Amino acid sequence: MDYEFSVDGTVYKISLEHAEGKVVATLNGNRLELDAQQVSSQAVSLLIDGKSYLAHVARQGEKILVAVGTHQFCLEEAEQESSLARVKESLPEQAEETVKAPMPGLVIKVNVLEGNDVNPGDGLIVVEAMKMEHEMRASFKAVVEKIHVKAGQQVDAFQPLVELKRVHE
Amino acid sequence: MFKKILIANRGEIALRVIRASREMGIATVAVYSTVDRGARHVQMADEAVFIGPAPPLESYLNIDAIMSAAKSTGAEAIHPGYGFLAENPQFARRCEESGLVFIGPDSRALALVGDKVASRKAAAGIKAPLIPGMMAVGKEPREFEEAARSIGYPILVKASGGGGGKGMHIVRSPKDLGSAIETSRREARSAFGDDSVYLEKYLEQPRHVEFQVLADQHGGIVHLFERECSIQRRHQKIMEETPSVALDDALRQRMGETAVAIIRATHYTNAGTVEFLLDKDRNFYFLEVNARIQVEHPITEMVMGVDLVKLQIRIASGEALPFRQSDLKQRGHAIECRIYAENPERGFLPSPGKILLVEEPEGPNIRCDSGIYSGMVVTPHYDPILSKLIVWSEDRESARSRMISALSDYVILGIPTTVAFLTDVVSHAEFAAGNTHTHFIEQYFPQWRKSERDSNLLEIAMIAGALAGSKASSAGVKEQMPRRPTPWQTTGKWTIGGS
Repeated sequence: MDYEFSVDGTVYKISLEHAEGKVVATLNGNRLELDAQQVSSQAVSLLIDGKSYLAHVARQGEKILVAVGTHQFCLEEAEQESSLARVKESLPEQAEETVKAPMPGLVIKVNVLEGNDVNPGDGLIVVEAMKMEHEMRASFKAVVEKIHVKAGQQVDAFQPLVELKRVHE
Repeated sequence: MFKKILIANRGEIALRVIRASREMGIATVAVYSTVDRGARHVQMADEAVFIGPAPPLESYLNIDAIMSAAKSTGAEAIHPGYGFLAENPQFARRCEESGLVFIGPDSRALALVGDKVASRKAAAGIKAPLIPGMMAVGKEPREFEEAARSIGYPILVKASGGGGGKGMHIVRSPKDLGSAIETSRREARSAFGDDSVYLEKYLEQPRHVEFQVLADQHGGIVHLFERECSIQRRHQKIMEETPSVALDDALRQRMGETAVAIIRATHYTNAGTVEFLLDKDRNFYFLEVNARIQVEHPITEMVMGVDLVKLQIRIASGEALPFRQSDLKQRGHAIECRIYAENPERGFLPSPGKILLVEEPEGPNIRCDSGIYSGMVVTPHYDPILSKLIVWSEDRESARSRMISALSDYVILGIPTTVAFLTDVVSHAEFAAGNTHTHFIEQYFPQWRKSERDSNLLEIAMIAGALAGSKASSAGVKEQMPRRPTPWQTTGKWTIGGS
């Protein structure tokens, strides 16, 4: 079963499978086999490679609060659409003419063509890393001058993705 | 002994008094405001009386309502706890006039020690060391200016009727004196209804060391040694320990004797605390007398093996102290952490709200004086204290380890609390070394943030969240979980309800 959690603005996808009394979790492409037991309605005991973890869980509206030791996490469980929308809104807009990758990752979508006119807030390109999608958006009125990458391409942090030419009104 | 007492308080201290009374075979009456109908002290007392709306002035500070609750239930005595009416001489007098026993000092002693200038005079009378400062409240600006010059800057402006840091201002240069006095007066007028202020020398980085005292009505007075309460935010204590690493036996004895002498000079009875500041050169100065059971009283109970609340009740009922000074010895080390509904990442802003889940630590010599439960709503109307975690061990270092361990077992979900912050404070190298002073938090934790998130733990959290918290899986849990927890495999089919 697949889950999607937004934690501090970052979206994580996690899938859990149940096989032979074990739980297999897949997170960021990493496969993790663990033994999970719900010990009360609000507590889960996890054994991972023999290490024992106790997590306490409570629902707060749309949020799931989890405590592991003195560490607390707030997971927002949402429909894919809305959680991505939130992440997009929280990203800073590109102020420079060269739009660069914010982190190493995979270009999953290019939304513009060379020569396109773009307005502030228009989506340019979507980069995914650690199961988190970042949409790079224009912050000023511009023409797309050059696109350096294509969908499916791996990029490094700060690698130029798109060149914009500012249009002054 | 009394047959029934009323507890004019709420939260953990009300529970503390109810427990002590129960064990003594005394029936208890709780009082509560609109928002506290579901509070634990109401659940736990034998009787509960509604006293008014949420604002303290209309309920827990409403003397008429509390007196009439005591009369209607036939209570013989009133325990005021701490805060609210605990140090209010008018309330004590009302009790005296209506034949009720106020479990604390009499109204005259309360009025005396509650007036800081008067208690400074009393302390001066027995030649107790005082922080250099004015011996009377000031009136004219020139009076303050002259006093400040002779005391020397930095200066502390203090409200004579004050407490809890209210109306207190540090002045480092003469040009700021006038405005600080004005601010203090304004704050003191609104907080205590009395705008008299005075000046004191401001000590840099002192330790706060206080002595617990008990005085019966037959002239018996003892001290139960010290508590160091240097770890403070906004001039309010958040962590206390005993013994203090700063005292040796000779200094401890001198301070204890001074505390007893001040109590004797003020004709004070019942439990009280004499507060001192200790400077870097180990000079101690009398600060004030707190005429109540202190929030931090449990650490004294842990190292002394006594029950201070029961002793308060016994003293109020006329019994003599069951021990003499020579019978009393400290044993081991105790630390208390106050768990507040406050957000340490946002300047300790109160964080009222609904507590979704509480799991309290347990284990040998771990005590949790708590007033909360899963599902309780923390209201914005009262003090944000939720509970107190107290540990005892043979020595300071093992008590410190025990506290860190116990804090890591303390789960409060739903509202920000001070648990993780306190863990960092107790773990700090300077705390471990015993280098504490009243500006410790400002110096070492000026902009505290939760420690870097461990990605491992985030994974754990997400797996747990998916299993126990997710809407999709919780539907599955309800259908599939048997009443009794069983191994994971027997519950099976977590995917039910999903795709």
